[in-house]
Amino acid sequence: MAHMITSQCVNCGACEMECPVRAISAAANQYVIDPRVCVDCEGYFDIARCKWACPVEACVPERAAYIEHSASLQNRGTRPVVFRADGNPAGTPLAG
Amino acid sequence: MGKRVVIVGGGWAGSAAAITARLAGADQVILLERTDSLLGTGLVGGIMRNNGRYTAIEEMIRLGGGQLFKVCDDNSRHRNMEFPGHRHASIYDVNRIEPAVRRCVLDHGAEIWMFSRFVAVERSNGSITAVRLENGTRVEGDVFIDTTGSCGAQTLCTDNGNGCVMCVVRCPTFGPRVSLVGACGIAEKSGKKPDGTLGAMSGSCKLSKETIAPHIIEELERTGLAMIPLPAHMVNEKKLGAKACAQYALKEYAENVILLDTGHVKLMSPYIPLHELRQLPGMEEVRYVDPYAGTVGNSMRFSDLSPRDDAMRVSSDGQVDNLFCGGEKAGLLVGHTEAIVTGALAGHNAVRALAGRKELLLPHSLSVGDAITTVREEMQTEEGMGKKYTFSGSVYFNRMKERKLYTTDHAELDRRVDATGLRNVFQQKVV
Repeated sequence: MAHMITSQCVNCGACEMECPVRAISAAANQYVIDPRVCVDCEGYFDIARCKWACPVEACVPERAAYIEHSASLQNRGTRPVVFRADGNPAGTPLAG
Repeated sequence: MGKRVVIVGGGWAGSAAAITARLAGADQVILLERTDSLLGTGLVGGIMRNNGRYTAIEEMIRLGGGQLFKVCDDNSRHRNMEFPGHRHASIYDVNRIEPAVRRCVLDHGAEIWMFSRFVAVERSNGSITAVRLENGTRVEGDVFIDTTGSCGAQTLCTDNGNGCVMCVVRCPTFGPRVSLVGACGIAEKSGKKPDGTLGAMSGSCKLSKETIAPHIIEELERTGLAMIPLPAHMVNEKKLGAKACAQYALKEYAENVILLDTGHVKLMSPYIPLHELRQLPGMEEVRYVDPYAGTVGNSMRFSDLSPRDDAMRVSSDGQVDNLFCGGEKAGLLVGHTEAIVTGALAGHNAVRALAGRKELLLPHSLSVGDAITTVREEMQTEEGMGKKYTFSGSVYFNRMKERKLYTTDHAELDRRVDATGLRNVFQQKVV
């Protein structure tokens, strides 16, 4: 198990400074927790320090379903679709 | 295989670039779009040909780059109408425009890739070689055009606006816009509000027609315009300063609710709380269709503006040599017309660059050429970064009038364009 940060993150950076194992870093649109580093603050604090520090309750125990369905086209099963002159979908491009 | 032009971002600018790149003779043109539809913010726009935009559009038609303007004309709900501060406007139907633009782009032989969000760039020896999409697909190309715009990601709206208000850009579903220029490590600028904070708020909302009283809708559909005076306690002139569209920052817009018929009802105000809007006679049951949370705010724009020259080539101190830009990405030139102009020039010049030909510069005797240079120069100054430029109003339209560039006289426009020797230049193959 690990903790994760939901899209409610407001990019304040409070969690990053508090994390005892430096598992948290800034990503494109919010902060993220590296689940390979996070130890849920076991042996450090009773309440996970990020959860304690977060002003918007975005730091929560990891939920598999959230990660699977989080906002990315790939996770939604959507792939690029190519349209050519006849206007009908001509299939998906091959991944390079 | 021949040379390939890859355009990132399928709004008005990217669609225009795809068309002019094909007209200039590019073998293969791929237009990458993040969402399920072309046009982006153009899906909730509509206003064309108002004030100096009329001149710019007629210049572009004579230069041979009028394809998308014809699509707008063909899909206009109202023509030659007036609303406060604006003359001879056309309004395209936002519910019909996207399929028409899509057909136009495809008919010119470009490919459109939907659900194709750009996320990373590959480079070699000072050139971009490929872009990567969210799902890992790699798209190789010979020349690239950034028409990703200046809206989103959501953090732009949370940091500088009133939060995500669920607008037509749809970042939460399709993922945030990523700047191609930014991904190349090129420093970009952001526009500023008059109070010095970053960005600018989009200036209008869309209301559902079915939720407004029939007598207002009747007037709106007949004339294109309905004006409803605001009660004194609701007038807020301060809000005007926050808007992206300085051409609508007039007293009439603070003292009235101004509605235009774009297919939806376009409310010419960045946002108004629903309960206040419902105090107006005939609007008791109104609801928003864009942004969904028009009660509290609107989308933020004008982050990540690219440095560029007047040929629309991205200026990068030698970091990349095959990158162009157009649309809002290319500077504080606001609007659909403006995006089509800069996008069209970027598409044409991208092919000239492939062919090793000298790039086309639009002359300053035309408003389209003068605007591209003026805005680039203005953006060098702190004061200039706090303004917005458009053919249709505010500082740039004043400049057009001062320099006698503004005209609706077709014979005069013929003379001007013929004097430049560039009649139909966008339709001439350069390879």
